[in-house]
Amino acid sequence: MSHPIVSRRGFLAGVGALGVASALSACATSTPSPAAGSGAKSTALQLKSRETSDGGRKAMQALLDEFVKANPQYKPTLNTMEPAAFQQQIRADLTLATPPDMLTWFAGEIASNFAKQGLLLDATSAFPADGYSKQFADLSTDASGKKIFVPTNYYWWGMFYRTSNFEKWDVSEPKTWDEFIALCKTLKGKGVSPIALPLADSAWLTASWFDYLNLRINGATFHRALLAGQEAYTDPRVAKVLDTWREVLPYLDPDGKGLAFQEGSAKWQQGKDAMFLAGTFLGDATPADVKADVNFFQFPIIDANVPVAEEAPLDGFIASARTANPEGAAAFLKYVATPQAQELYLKTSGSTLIPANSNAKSPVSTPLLEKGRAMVASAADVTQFFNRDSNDDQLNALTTALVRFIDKPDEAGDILKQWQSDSAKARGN
Amino acid sequence: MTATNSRVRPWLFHGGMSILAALWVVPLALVVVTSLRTFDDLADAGLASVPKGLTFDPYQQALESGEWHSIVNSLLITVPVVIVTLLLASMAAYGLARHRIPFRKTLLLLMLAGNLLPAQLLLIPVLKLTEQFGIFDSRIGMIVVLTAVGLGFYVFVLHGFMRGIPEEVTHAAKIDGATTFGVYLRIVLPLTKPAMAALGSLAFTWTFNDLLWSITLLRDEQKLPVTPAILGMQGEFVSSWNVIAAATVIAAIPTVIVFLRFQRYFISGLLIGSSK
Amino acid sequence: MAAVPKAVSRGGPGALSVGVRRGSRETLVLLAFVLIPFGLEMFWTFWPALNSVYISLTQWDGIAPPVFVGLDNYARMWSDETFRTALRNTVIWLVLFGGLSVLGGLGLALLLDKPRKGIGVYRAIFFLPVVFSMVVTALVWRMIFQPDGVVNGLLAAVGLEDQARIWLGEPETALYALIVPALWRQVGYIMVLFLAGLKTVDPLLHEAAKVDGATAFERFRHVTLPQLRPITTVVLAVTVIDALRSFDIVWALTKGGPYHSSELLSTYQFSTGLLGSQLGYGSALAVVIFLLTVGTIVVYLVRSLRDEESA
Repeated sequence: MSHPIVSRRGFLAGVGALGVASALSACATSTPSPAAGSGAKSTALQLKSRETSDGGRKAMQALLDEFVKANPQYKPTLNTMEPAAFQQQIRADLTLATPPDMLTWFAGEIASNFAKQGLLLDATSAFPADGYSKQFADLSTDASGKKIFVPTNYYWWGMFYRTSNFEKWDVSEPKTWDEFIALCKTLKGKGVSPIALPLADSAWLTASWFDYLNLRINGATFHRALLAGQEAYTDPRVAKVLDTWREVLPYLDPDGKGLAFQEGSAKWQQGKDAMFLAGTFLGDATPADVKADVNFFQFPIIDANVPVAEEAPLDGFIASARTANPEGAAAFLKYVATPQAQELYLKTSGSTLIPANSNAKSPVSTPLLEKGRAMVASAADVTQFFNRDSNDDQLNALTTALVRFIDKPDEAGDILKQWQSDSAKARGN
Repeated sequence: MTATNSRVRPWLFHGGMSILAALWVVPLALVVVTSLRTFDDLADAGLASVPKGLTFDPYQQALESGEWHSIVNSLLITVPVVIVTLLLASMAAYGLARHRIPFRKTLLLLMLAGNLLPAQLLLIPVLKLTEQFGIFDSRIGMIVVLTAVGLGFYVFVLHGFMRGIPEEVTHAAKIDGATTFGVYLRIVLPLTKPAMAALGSLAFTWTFNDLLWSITLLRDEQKLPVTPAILGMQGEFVSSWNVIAAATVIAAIPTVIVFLRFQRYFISGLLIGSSK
Repeated sequence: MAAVPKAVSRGGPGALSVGVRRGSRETLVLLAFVLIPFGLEMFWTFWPALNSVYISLTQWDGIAPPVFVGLDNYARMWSDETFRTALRNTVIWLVLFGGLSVLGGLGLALLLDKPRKGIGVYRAIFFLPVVFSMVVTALVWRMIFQPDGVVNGLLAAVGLEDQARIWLGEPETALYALIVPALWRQVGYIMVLFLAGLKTVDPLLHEAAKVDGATAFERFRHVTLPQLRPITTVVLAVTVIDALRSFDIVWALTKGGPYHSSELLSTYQFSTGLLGSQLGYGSALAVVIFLLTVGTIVVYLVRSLRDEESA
């Protein structure tokens, strides 16, 4: 019982030795575990989803039900995991002997990395020739030109407000940065806190401010280069982003740093905070009778010479390269790329999302949705979101820097130096 | 102030204790109040607001979302873990505390050290190990791992208690011809009952509420124990806190029952000298 | 780590059978008693941990093959300001959280040891926080600490509005505010351990001391405390372990923020190694946490075990 526990070789050889030794001791059980229920000729297909909301679960199940009608040879099952655990599990999942066959995921840097390691199924055959914009098709392609991701829907970010409140305060949507600052001043003069930014459990929201300011001031090309580590945070152009943001800091709700997202959105909804830079999920969180009153405006233009870019995070599906059933997984990806599947999903989930396939129509079209769709469609460029375009280590460095900046705007120089150092270290430099 | 002192003035004891207990209860009361509100009330007014009205609907919603199922899952893992852990730990502790086994101190400290390893060092390699053994994503895998990684702590605590048993008691039994196993079963186990009860309720609580190992070693939603299941009721951005609070209150019931049943063993009622 | 292989081989079956002089069957039983649990635990802890120690010598994102970098990850800690903050906070945490939970737990155990009416209810109340799941515990403590929450409400009620703060959102107060819910959960647990320990205190000695005219404090000091010694050892060890590993309440409430001001080694390790993609650096941090824990308590334990042995 005790003799094989510790050996020098095991210590040195690490992963490899561990695998061999435990395979030896496991003997007969070293074949893929039967618990996962998928043998070599399996017809089973497991969809792993991070949609825990009621609507999300139902919509995923509806997709599978509809899929199996056309492909009765497969037996798909749905397995839902809450988002934080899903995120923690995905690296291990994709390297399991019997991985989930299909998974919900998003476009961006992390998917590309998975693909680079050969963990994602080649979805080129499942990707429709038409229906996807070039931007979306590019976001679904890995470095070698294979399609590795099938986008199904996206949402947008904007400055959300309640129509009735803006009417009550007798203010209107600003277009430019100066108008925006003037609006903040007016609101504050009326005793309304202009901007909500809850940070207690959602410091990541600061990334939306950074993304937009950087996109509006320096443009999408610089933004991408910065996130990829090709430009430094100590660059004067980044300092300019913080300088611009400093103008807004007096208008942030000072209670924000003690409020959780949900508390912050409640406060915004009650009209105690006027505006909230957020994604469409903010409106989805409001009670039914408030939904029609939710409105937004585009993040104000700062420099008219910079091509307008918007944040439109794209969600969809990936399939595991190690699936026991590659045909089935590819067939499912092919199905979710169709306009019918995307319409079915949106109808069932009830979330404010726009289908990624341009041939799909929004089943429940609201003025809000059309306004969002038009804004994204007219944008010269589209980004995903800070951590989707980079990764969570980089997001960590960002929140540290920006939350400190909100507290101590005078330390900007120091903050940027620290940020650059954190960012570089996380990259392994 | 000690127990004997306070006995003289029961009203002082109860007065002080109830103030302290009330403070302790405030956060728990907030959970209960939250669990009795409607979602719209919470979304509208925020958590830290006075409720508009109270309702039992969140409890119904929690149960309808399959909470029973996850509680059963938790019990299927917790009960074997607690029993096996207490059994193995008391055996090892007895061996180490009551016998002149060579290197017993080293063995004890090694076991404790094993327990000191941060879970984060173990998660990924243990996942791979369970996969090799074919017990990944299974209850049996959870039982084996949770028992194994926790043992050191229980051995260490029980060792501490068993050293407190007077040497003469076990010695006398040995002279009377009792076997090692006999002494363990008939003398040591009954004498460590208070400690076993205390550890049992702690082990039950921790295992029942485990999160880190479940989300590492389990994948199938149908096998998830109660803590990750409750987490799964959270939305990515917005959560029905009322339902989650209700689910938490329900999930606390088994552990509270176990505690109330076990705590009688650590009341020093029967001993002579305690006056009442 | 170097002592590990040596210790294991020394403690092997060969050495053991020499030491035990009873019948071979008895020896076997005893062997099984100790070695089955020992082997089980070692297999599932040290064996996988060695693997992670190797990972700590690499740069690894969890997907691509790890790149061996020697001691770079350990060297990086020296220049890592966040690591130093986390280390300092962990020491503060150990002293405050550890010290207060032992005192609080002992106090409650002494008060709730003797049977009297309603005592079970009190015990249950103090133990209750242990059983509530973290999800909701974090939720209510956020309600308590939030800007318009319970604490600030109470301060306003007694006319101390100007003392109101955003307790978890300000770097000066976040760490100390976190200690409160952590203690709230820990004290009941320490109380249970002490309650069980108090069962080993011989009531006859108490009576004898009383007859001799000893005051309550003297009896506590000279009768209860010495007899509680084995369990005190246990509790102190447990407290050090828990203090150095405290994670969930901090993670749930502040994630170590704002800007690392409430960062502990455990949360820092989690955000780099598990949520982030720096598994090499994360593992190195975990190794340091382990060494720190072992270093803090083993010295103490070896001494205290030796003292007991000779006593």
